[in-house]
Amino acid sequence: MKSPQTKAKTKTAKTSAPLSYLDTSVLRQLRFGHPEQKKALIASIPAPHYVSTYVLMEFIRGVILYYIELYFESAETRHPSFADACTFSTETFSNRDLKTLLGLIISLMQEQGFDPANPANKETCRRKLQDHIFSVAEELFSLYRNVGIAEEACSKLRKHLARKELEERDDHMLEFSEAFKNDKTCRSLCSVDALLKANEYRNSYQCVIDKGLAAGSTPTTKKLAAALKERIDSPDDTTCTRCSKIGDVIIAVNCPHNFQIHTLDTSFSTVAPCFSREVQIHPSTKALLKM
Amino acid sequence: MATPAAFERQTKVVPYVLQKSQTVDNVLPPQRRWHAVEIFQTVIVQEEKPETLSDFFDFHPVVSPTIVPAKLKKIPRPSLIARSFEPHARKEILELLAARISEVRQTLGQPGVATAVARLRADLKKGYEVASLRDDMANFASAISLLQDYCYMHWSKMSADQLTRLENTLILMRKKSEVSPKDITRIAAVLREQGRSLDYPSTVQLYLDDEESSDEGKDKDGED
Repeated sequence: MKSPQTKAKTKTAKTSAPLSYLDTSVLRQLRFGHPEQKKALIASIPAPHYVSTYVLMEFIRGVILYYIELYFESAETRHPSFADACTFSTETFSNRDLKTLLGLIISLMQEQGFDPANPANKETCRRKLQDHIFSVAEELFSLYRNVGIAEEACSKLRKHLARKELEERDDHMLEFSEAFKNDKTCRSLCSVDALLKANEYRNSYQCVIDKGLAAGSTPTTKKLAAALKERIDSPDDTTCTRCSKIGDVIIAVNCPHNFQIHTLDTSFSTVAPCFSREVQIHPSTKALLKM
Repeated sequence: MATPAAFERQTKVVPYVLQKSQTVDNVLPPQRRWHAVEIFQTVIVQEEKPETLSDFFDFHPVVSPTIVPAKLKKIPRPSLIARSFEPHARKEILELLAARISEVRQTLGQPGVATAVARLRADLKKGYEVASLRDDMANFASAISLLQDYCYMHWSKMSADQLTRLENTLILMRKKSEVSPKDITRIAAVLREQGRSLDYPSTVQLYLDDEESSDEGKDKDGED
């Protein structure tokens, strides 16, 4: 079996353009973004699109897990309608993006003729959400190709979310969510500490820290550099939460040399050059619509 | 004379629902009336245990059996076997959806297209509601959900050719004796591929080398 990198080499020999390696921000925009943003991304990112397991994990953590939580939350009798469960979740989730996601699911249902505010439609809406969860998960694993590099050996995706018969679906989702959220087991199986200790990337890490902490860098980059410095100083204390703060660095490490990182995240303008990776930062929806 | 503690131990609260034309006076014997408390139509009877009665016996006041007035319930209407048998119900929905898709295809570029699309959308919704409420049609409901999502994202871009292909995916489901999760995955892949070809200007851009990409697909499956 050919490794993805070998295949990539074959392809680079045929085409001069580097292959596209997508960051989580691009993945989210391609799935849930504004139509203009989607159009612009599709036009400017050459297919096929590659991702790493870490990127898939970030997408699941930021989208699918919240949908699973909403699915089970909406079963509670204290929420008379599906819309009530969404309102409750919107008030509980602090993340702005998640609020957008919940808004999207409501508008998707309304667009398709369902009324999430009607208590009589609650079960239909829940079933619709369940179908949506499986569709998004399936799409994620089939639409993008995996680069096959996972230096940190993230173990959160050791269980796949696959379509099942109705009676098995709830248990399957719970099992998937439980395996994903079990940080202790996940951390015991991954090797992020070894990656942080690796001599191979020592200079690159230092470069990110120096550039990120330098005056004039953006607050996001500063935050990333500070988190990376902390991790380098005590790699053995790395937890899944702490690892999530240096996600951009791990994404850059997993990008093969003949690939170009496509992102909407400006911190990559600092991270990618430190790891000698090519990067293309795409404009945000706001910037795009102003053009 | 019983002490208050003994009285508490020896009494039992039994709810008694008075029937029509019954009152505390004509139901309870005079020696028990002083214990009876009427709350709406419920009478709580507190009866003192006779000293002659052994502790081993259960202690109940004498109550007349509750008479529930007979009420005629609506007899369910006979349903057609075509609607209750899953393959028939599925076929019926699929035929309706195929007719709607065909209607959209025929009206493309004409003033009636919006009405045809609205009808298709309404029937997809109705079909999903019917299928999702039945456990044996859950997989079929997932298939309708995929169609809904596909139409939601792409319907404005769909050509007559695309609509024909969509109709063909419905035929696949009509022929099956039962729809399994694997069938849904297959339909999802077909729709995704169609959606991708609508999003991307050319499918050549997706696969740099056809032979290689098919090998890769196998490799990926192997890895999974």
